[in-house]
Amino acid sequence: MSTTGNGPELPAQIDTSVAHSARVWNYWLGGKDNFPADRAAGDAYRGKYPLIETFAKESRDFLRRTVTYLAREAGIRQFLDVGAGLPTANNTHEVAQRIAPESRIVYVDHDPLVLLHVHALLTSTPEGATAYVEADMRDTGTVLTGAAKTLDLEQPVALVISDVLGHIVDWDDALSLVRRLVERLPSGSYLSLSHSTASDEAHRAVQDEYNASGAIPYIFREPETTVAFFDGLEMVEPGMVSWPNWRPDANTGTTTARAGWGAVARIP
Amino acid sequence: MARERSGRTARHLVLVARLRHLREGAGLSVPQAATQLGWHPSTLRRLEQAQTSLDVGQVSALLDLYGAGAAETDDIMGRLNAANMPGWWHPWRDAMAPWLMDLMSVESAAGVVRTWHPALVPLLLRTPAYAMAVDEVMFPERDAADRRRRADFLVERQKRLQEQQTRLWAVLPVTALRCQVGDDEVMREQFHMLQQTAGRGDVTIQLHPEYAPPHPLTGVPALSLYRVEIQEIADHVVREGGLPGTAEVWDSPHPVQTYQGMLDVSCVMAIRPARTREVLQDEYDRKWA
Repeated sequence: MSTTGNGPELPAQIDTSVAHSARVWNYWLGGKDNFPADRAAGDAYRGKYPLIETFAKESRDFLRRTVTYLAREAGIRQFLDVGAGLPTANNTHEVAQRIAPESRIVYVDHDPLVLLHVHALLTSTPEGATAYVEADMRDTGTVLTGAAKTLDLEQPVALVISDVLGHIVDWDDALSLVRRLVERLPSGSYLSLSHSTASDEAHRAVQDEYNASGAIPYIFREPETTVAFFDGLEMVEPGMVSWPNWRPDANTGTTTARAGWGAVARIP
Repeated sequence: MARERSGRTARHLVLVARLRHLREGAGLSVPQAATQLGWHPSTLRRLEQAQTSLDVGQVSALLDLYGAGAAETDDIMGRLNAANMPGWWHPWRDAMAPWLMDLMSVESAAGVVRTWHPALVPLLLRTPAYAMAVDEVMFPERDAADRRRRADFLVERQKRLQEQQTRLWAVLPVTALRCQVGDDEVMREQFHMLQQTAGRGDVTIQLHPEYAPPHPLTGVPALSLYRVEIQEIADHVVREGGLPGTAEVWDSPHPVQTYQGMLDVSCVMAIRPARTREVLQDEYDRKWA
């Protein structure tokens, strides 16, 4: 399902000659859906900051553990994953549907290639559903209208925003987009959100260089700032912590103690 | 070769990839390793390219030379038998071109097959009657029984792909649906099958409209990209369109990734899957309703 069927207007375009964060991320995660420009950017970053590959994996692992919590302990059966990225291991619907096959998931991304991969590669359980909405996450009206075709927005929904708000450079824009989505979800819904932080000055310098390369920039924010995304919500234990400290399990590493933070909170 | 081979299996490919990694880990080139064992370099090269079945003595000698640990040695030796077993397609050798025998191992383990055809319904989406009608033109020397056998094999491939939950992602121009293959009944049945298939969760079909501007696959012969979700097995690209019964197969990074990029851009420029299903209906209504 797509909200933008391209009609007789000009077709969508992608430029595979410029690094793209979803594909660079795919490269760091060991995926095969990336092009020379993405690997060059990924290699340049990793060459100067080898931990980045571990950070990418542990960010994904935070997503796995939070979705597991939401499906298993919070009993959530509807997920809205905003800024989904390219399919990789342990995608939101796979984690949720392993626990509850009837789970319904909507992926949102503004990149048509990402969503075509989502559509073609991510098969739902027969009992549940996965769908996608092609929209800029800032366009919350389109996001919600599209999501409502698959999700019942009168019933609790887990809003999943996994490490993508750094692409919204303006703080007020980032905060307001999360608020607009949260406001539309019923009581008993949840917000699961993570955000990268510079682990040290070297990390910050390498990211600045990446941002200057022509790729879509990603900016770091400190946890003291990003905790504001959860204002007015009921934090789930242990609150806002660095990725590996959020309900770690046997597969959780400990490397990213300062690289990224996140939390899960209930919408009252 | 002691026995007739039916092409490499995925298990075979994984094992030779592990042997190659062990050699590289030991810091040895193919000629260096071969010389130390008193082999001709081509013996080892063919083994690593899965062109020969895996001989217990040879593999054991390689593991010794590479200094593999006991656990790894036991694991690899334990998998030799299974890797040397023929694939399910072994009895269909008569219906297959040599390149296809090798490709079947990849197809039998593929998580995703992406395919493009410039002028016809892509092979893996064809009905038997449509496939036989195409064969009749492409291979006039074959008799009816031969064509039937090839169509039966195609049906078996389609069934197995569905059973192993391989995702199929096809992109083609809408004009490819208008090429009259066989009689009206053949076309109507093919359309019906396409519409049903497009509704399946494991199949994605995208059409390029008639008014489409050129995209990267414009004028490119039929091609398919096979993805196995195992790091050790590279994506494979098959391009048909030369002499009948021939194909070029690549598994090296440059051509594979170039074709993947062309497929990606072509799919982004094509009609979205949901809208494509409406266009399929319109096309059916236009001529065959």
